[in-house]
Amino acid sequence: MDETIRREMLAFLPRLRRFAYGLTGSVHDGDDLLQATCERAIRHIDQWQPGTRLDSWMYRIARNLHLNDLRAKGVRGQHLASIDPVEHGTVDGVRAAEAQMTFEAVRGFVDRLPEEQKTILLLITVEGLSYREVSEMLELPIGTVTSRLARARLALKAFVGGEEPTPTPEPAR
Amino acid sequence: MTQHIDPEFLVAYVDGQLEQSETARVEAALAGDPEARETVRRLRESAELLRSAFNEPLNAPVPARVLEAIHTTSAERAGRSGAWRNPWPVALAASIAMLIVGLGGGLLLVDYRVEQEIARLHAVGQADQQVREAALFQALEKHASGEAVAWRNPDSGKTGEITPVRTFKNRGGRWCREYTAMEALDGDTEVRRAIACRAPEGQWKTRLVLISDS
Repeated sequence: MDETIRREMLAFLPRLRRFAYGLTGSVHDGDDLLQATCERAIRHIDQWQPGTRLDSWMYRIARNLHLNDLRAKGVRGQHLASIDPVEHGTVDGVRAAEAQMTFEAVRGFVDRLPEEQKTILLLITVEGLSYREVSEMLELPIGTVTSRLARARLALKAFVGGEEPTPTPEPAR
Repeated sequence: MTQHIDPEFLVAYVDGQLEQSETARVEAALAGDPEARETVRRLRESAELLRSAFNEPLNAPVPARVLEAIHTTSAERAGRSGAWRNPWPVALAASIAMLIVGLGGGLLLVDYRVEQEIARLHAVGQADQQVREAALFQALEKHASGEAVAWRNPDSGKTGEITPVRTFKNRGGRWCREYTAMEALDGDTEVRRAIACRAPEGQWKTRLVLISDS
């Protein structure tokens, strides 16, 4: 691995960690996934095509490892440990606590999403990838990406706005 | 509530993923549809909340165990693909460089465990170097061609063997010796061939390194 790739990989770690956290629903499992992803990427760096995005390639590895894990375990991630709240000196305690509860609720919502909606929601809305990038990464038609994302986003909006207690599961799973 | 505009379009609009013509069409429709505007606002707000809910890993250091795993894996790799193309402890230098680049890159890796790990790796690398140099001096100064001198650094587990191959005088009249150096760590073996010449003060200075694989 040359220096540029190493540098890029390191710079990308916090974002990959965030994605792994979202996929697994827990910090600890997320870090296991992050570690496994990095090890795999380094061992198989020859399979990465220079000129393509390293981050997309690694997101994809993380997602595949995560799916393998789920298949192996035969269960979905069950619960969610929260990261210790960051201390904000200027925010008063009640508001900070409320925000933390909201964040936890949102993470719980994501955790309950069908896996294929969750991946797309995290990649696009949290990680900031474009629809096209995700469609290429997951080898899905862009229309499928768009509609899965829309389903997750509208459910999220409803959840945050208190319209519905739970997300609508995707039909035909 | 958004009968006039397909909600999928609204989501793509909020994400800036529509074609220009589509964007214009959605904006035109939004102008006359307060309910859709409210949907757009809440889509934006909930997306923002989602990002905030997962943002904490961005402000926390990457755990040392992950960094260590990366360093171990890339060292293994560097070890396999010819670690002697650069000065001696390439795998080590590479991992240290990797960590340092990370630190210099404005990342939040300023975790003292990482710094400790760097210091430890550096110390181990220096110890390897000292043992290796002592063995090299011994071999070149006192051993006949063909006689190997073995060395081992118990801290790193690294072992090596230095064997003088032939002796000659260079154009400047100094004594030089060609030697082979083998090093092994965790089952990975590497061999290089080099020429060292004796300086007037008595040190042996390696002038030329020829790479050969095991």
